[in-house]
Amino acid sequence: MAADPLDALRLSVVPVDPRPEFTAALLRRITSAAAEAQTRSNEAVTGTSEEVGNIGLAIQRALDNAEQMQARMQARAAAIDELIASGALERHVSRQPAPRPPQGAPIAARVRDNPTVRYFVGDLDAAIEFYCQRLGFGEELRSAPAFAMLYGGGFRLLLSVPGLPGAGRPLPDGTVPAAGGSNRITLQVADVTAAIAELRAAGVPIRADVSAGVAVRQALIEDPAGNLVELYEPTAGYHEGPSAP
Amino acid sequence: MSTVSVRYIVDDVDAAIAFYRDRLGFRELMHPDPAFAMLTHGDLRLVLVAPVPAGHPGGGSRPMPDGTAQRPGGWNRFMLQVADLAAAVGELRAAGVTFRNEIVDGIGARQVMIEDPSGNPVELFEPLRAEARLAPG
Repeated sequence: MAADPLDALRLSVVPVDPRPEFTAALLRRITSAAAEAQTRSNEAVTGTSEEVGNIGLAIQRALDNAEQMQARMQARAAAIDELIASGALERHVSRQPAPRPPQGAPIAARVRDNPTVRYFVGDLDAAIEFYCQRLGFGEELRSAPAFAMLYGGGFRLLLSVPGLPGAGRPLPDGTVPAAGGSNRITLQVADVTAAIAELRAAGVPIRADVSAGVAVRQALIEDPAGNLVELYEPTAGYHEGPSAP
Repeated sequence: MSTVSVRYIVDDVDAAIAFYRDRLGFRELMHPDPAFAMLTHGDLRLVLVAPVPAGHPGGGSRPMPDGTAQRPGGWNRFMLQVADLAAAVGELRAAGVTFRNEIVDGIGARQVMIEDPSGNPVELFEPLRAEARLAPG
């Protein structure tokens, strides 16, 4: 799902990084969104014409949000600097291997060895709802608005929001991570046809309907951010893991 | 313990196998077709596929029904835990591996992104707190 340039005007919370180069990149994004909105002003663009009816207002709102978020980010960075200077963080964040917590401690349940994948999602809550309600994942932690950790299908799935602190942070050259692409997690199901029927009925976008591969039947669905998830059902000749002959 | 699979689209399956095997310690499980290979690393199975035309027996990398070709790249990625990220970075740099960024200290882990020969990202991380750490397998 390609990002709509007008998304920059739709954000209620504008992602901001305290570094000046990010603010500059954000301003460029908003400016180009405004230009795009103007070129589209005579087209019927579902869901956007009303929002960008007053482009100036939308830009002002985005900039106000950016300013507020930037102030908050700077305050947070300053607070963290203070903690580092006081040595408080050192006591909590050790570079040494963390000792295993005692049996039964809450943390023990959170230490697992699941293969880990990171997906980018524009809307953290929508993504959490999708993976938990449609695909049976469990929410492990949510650090809104930028990050969540889920477990499901044998995976540890990290959800990060493009443009926000953490893994969504822009690269040094200003490139911002994005959702989408062809690479994906695969989830094994007993009956892929039934699973797809159920998901379709629930309104989940089906990117590629069930088709036969060499040793599996498979289908592709999309999460709300447009990331692919592959569902597969093993058929004859399927290799069950590394121990298979 | 459960084995799970991630599918990556690559331009050149042989080059990808060499990269994941020689640089990241994956083991080749099978490579029955020029456009398909399966590697393993712990509980992770990495399925490498090159784009194939519609009608190819391998179903994982055909074009989408609307004709869109599958292709490498993007930002979604699997992650590998390392004990010493700085050491790993030094080693990979010396081997000529492409990096997308420098080491970033996050809240739960220090992390860095490298690219396979097709430009797919792989994230390496060194946990800084228990929640981010993968238990020894």
